Amino acid sequence: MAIEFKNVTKKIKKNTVINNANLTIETGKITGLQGINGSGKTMMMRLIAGLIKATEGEVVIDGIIIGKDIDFPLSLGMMLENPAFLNSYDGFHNLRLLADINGIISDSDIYESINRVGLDEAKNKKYKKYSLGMKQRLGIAAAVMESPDIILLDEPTNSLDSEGVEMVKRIVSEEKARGATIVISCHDTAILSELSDIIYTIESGKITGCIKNGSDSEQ
Amino acid sequence: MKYIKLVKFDLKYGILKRWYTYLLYALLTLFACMDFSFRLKSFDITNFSLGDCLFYFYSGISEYIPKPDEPIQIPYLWLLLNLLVCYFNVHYMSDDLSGLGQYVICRSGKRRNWWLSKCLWNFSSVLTYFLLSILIVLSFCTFNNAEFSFEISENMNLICPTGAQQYPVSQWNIGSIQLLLMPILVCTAISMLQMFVSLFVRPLVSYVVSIVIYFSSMYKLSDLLLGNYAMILRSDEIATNGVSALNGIIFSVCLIFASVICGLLYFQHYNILSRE
Amino acid sequence: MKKQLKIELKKAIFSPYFLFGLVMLTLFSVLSAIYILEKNGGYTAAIKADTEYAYNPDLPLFSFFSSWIGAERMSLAYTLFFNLMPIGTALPFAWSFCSERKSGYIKNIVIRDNKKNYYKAKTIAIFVSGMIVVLIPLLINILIVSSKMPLYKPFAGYNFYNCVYFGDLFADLYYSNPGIYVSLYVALNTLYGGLFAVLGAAFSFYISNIFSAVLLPFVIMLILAYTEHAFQAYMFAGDIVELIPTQFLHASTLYANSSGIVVAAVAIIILTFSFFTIYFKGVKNEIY
Repeated sequence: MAIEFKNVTKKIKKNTVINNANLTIETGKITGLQGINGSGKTMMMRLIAGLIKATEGEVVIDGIIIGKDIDFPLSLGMMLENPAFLNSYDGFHNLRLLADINGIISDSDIYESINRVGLDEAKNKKYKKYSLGMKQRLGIAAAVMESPDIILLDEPTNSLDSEGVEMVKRIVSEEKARGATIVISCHDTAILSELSDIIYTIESGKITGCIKNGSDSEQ
Repeated sequence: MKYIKLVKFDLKYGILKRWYTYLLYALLTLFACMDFSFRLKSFDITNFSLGDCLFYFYSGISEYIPKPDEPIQIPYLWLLLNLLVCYFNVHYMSDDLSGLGQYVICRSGKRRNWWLSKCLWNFSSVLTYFLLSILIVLSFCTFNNAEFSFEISENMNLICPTGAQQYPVSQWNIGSIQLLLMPILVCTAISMLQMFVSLFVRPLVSYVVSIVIYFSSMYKLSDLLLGNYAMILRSDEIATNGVSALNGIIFSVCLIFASVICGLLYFQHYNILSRE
Repeated sequence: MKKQLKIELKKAIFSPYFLFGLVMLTLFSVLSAIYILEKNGGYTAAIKADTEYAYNPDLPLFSFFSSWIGAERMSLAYTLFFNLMPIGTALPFAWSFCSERKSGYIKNIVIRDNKKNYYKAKTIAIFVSGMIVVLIPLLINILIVSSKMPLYKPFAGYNFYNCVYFGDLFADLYYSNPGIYVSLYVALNTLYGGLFAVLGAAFSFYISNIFSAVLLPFVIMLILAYTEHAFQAYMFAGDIVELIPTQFLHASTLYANSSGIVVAAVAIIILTFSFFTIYFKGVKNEIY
């Protein structure tokens, strides 16, 4: 699923959070978003997810305009900012709540996702007792469990130990091999370079650079 | 299909999982039944009907004419039965939108599905509160061998403390519409309006709006203040200058539809951001 | 502690919620003033204009002391002011305990300062913000009403019009020195404004949802008012005493006589509950 930003500008109240962004996220590739805090990485992901609509321009996924033709991408998994789940449920039931909406995966698929992110021992623990790293892992599980065509991961390595970071790398590679289009943002440039096929640098809502497989180009 | 799943999610998490709020409401109703029972005893009345009990709960207050030496007799029971519902429902939608709801809404496929599901939850929730309340009243009536009719006894205008005395009961033509339908419909309309307003402002502010509507309705007998239609004593079947149930039904239904549709239109362009 | 207190007071007062609470209660106090001036303002002028009635004993009925928001009993505004006081006072800062605990901000503070100091400073700031949010609207109402209504001393023979009965709290002051009476009630309202705010903050230790916690004092006052009215029917009429703060804070009697013992007792109960909650659930508890 190719994602295109065509002259996208987003203003929230008086702030321009995305300023005339033009970029293409190729199908089946891992695209990295790099930038300092507040540069607009999460906002770009929100635009792709359909959670916010562009003030000007269009976000197009395979020829379909998000916010006009459809409200949300048809097959999307995401983990934006801090994961938010229900405190009174355990990890498994939280994922099942979400999975029940689409109804395309079974309980065993959910268990598999939980095992993939290394939460098998904590799956029956209530979410409010999870550590920050565990919450992060559960967020990743929620993003990948339904094998979506588009995966958005906003700083997935936050709060994770080295094992967790390796887990993220492994999952991202597996999802790419499956053919998913992945957008990932990370402060660790080494991880981003290792995983991404292309990296866009963002500064104050503007796309300022594009790094493709080691080469550099300014926009 | 997805819409039904969303509705199931909201009914499960918005109603079943919040069973303690319904329990509190049931306890309030039970207490009100006991209060009614004691009041009957103090007037040496042994026979009463279902209509009497419902009248006691939803009578509200007769028209208030401000006088320096007569402050308004606030109908606390009527106020509680309505405002508690609004209190319990005030934050569900906004909590969901800033939490797990973001994941749910993306899976829902359409923004309108999410909003309509919330509207259905709101309506179901209000209905559940009132039905639970009516169930308790029915049980209370059964336990006390009360008459199962909507007829209101002659003595009821004495028992109700908020200005019913001036209206002779024999002239009343009160039925299930005033006793049952109007309180539910009005509360649903105000709860729906509250939910719509919380798209723009904090839920706390939207609750204050609901409070102001109910308090203003207590003070002023007017077709434009929705709370009047939920007060039986303000009905035109009792007070000559009262409000008509038909107007109340039209007003409430229009407000419900307006809240749903305006909310739908506004939500199409709503920025779903994590809110504190 | 002083630094912490300064910081907390600044946070409390320079916040949009403080403004909202203040504006809300001020709006009610101004509306009450406008309403009563419209109703009563004309009488005084008319009586004054007609010198035949220059010594009309009804004159004190239309004085400031029966027209300010604490005394008037006619407008919707005074009802909203007193009944919504628990919300208006909790709005500015009562939510901050819950919010800072949830966000983890409290960890930043306690590693830099004593946990006790933090809770002390916060509680004081909440109390002060609640007080200010009540005091300013009352003063504005007093200013507006006193600018038009004369300060005639109330006449004790008309206590059924003034609704300040013998036996009410400070009743003798009302008929002898009404200025002090008004001042005392303003002070009482201000004190209770602070108490409501701290009560809202205390509830936030039991309820995780901030809105529910802030609104809970209002809901509880409503429930208690209903309970009181429900049981009044079974008590001897002469012994009825006003127990609900949102009713006894009104300077003239609304439903039942006010009693100093009850006012003090309720204040102590609110203070004790809030203090013990904040101490045992806040100061003594660990921070996760």
